[in-house]
Amino acid sequence: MTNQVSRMTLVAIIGAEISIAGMGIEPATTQAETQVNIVQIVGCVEHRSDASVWLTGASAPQVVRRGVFNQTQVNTARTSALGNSSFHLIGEADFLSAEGLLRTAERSSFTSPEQVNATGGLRAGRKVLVKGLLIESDNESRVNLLAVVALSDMCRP
Amino acid sequence: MRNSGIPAIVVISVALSASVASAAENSPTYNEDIGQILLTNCASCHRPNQVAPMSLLSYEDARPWARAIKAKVTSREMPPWFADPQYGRFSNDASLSDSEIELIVAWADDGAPEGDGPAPIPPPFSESDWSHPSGTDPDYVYEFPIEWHIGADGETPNFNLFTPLSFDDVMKVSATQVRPGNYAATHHIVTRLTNLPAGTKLGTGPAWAGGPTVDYVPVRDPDADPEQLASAQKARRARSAETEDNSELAAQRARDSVGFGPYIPGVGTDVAKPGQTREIRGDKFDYMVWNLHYQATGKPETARPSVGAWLATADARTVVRTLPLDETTSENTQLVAPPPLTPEERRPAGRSRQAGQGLNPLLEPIPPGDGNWSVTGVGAFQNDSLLQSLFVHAHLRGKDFTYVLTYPDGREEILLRVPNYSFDWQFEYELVNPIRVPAGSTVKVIARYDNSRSNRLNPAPHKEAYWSEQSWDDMFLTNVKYIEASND
Repeated sequence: MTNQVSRMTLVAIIGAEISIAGMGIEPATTQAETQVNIVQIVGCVEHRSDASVWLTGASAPQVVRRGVFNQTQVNTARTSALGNSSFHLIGEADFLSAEGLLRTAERSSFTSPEQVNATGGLRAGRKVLVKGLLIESDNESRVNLLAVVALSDMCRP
Repeated sequence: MRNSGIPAIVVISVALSASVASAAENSPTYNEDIGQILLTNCASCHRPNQVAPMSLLSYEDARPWARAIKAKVTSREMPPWFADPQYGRFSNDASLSDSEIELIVAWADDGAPEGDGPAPIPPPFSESDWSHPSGTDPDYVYEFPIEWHIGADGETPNFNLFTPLSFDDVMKVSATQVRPGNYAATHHIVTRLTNLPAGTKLGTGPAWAGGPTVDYVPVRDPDADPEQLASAQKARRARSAETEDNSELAAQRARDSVGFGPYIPGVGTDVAKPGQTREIRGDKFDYMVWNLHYQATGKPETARPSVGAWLATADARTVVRTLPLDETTSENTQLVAPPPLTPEERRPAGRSRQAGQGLNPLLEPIPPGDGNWSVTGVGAFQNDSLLQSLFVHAHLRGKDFTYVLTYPDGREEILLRVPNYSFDWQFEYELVNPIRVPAGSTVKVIARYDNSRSNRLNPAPHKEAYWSEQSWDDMFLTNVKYIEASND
């Protein structure tokens, strides 16, 4: 690494607690181990009578990295097999219809119908590829959604 | 009815006199009431050599501006603040309460009296114009080596100049600031850490295509050893391929390259909380790139920016991190990246990205006349965290934005709502009480842009707005700062 210095001023450091050596010898801090995984799952969208949205007939969750899906991953998912798992989808507002988004929490307080950004990806009966945070609780598995890509309008387990 | 014998006019006159005397006695004064309000909420900008046009550090400073101050505070134009008070409490909220505004109005209406008591004492400010709230100067200062000259009129594109980094390890800092050197003529400055491409060195060349010839631009190094060059290029291509295939690695690299931060209007010193630190990664990078954008003021100007850092104390162990909001939906569409590039495709694509700056490559241009163009960014908290601050950067078409947190049980909470975004005042909204975010939560920012004629700041409502750092184009840039909860 360079040691070239151009008009650099290192001004006096006041106070014994601040160590100039701290500029040099500290190793970078590492991040803690991950508590919750980001996963991708292929499955069928089901809207239940209590207004909850589920992914049924779903494949086993696959741990993935952060970052947007690319088209190759989407194409692979189109032909991938479904499974028999079910996941409660949360954070779903942005992937519902415009009406669904506006019914969610306080969204209508800052969004008018002409301003909605809702993908509609979670239309009932569709085969979709989802990415999200997998949360395992005692009575259900939840996915807090990050992305939803529609794969086909029909989903046949 | 009995007549009291006192003429009514006398009664009214006496009553009025008493009332006026009482009003004068009860008038707010600078020394007792107003001075502290101005010093607490206005003086960080309204002092010599800062962005504001006049100083408000003393009665003598403030008195001539009493009526203007009244007008600005009653319209809530000053102090500038844009968060909806319904959501969140923010430590850098300088907006005045209704009672403070009433006091200022009464003071101005009553002739702006000074009062008898002792004058309030201004908070400590750096004598060299740094704006750390402690009034101290930075421990580390680097001044840009040359003075930049800005013409009286005309447009200058934003451009990059490079300087060698003067340290080669991890600098742990408690605060950083970029000082523009000329507030009026500076549109923005963004600093980042970088490495020069293999086979180049700092030299003399055009500041931008067709721009003036200056020092501190990367130029071809004629002395580069061909073997070393080939080896370095190979290693660079390998790194590039790795980050191309691994967006998490790319995001980490972007986070590591954060230097001393930006100067944009509204942003002063970026101060970490006690016990916390940020890392400036001199161990990974050799150079600092200064992205500079100046604007003409009607007279010739010069600017010489500098960066400053206040070193972290030895007990500051908790690293402040930033959360990428890299999943995006826009205009009712989930954005999906194109297939990964082949090795043969990577080099020309990289060059093209550099030329076009490649910002938000997945976002479509905003159509002309669209008053509600939307984009939503989503980020994932994989660990228990404490969320500390929220920021969005857009340009002149930025309209409004809202941060929403979705907890692992599905509850949704609005964290911040900015119903009227202002390009002139871009605040990092710092939470008074950091929010405890359980692992498994997501944060979303829902932003809207106005590319219509009804946006009076819109430079070109009849044109598509592209994504670039130029202010006549637009940007969608977020910054969510947090610490891991195990460190709290």
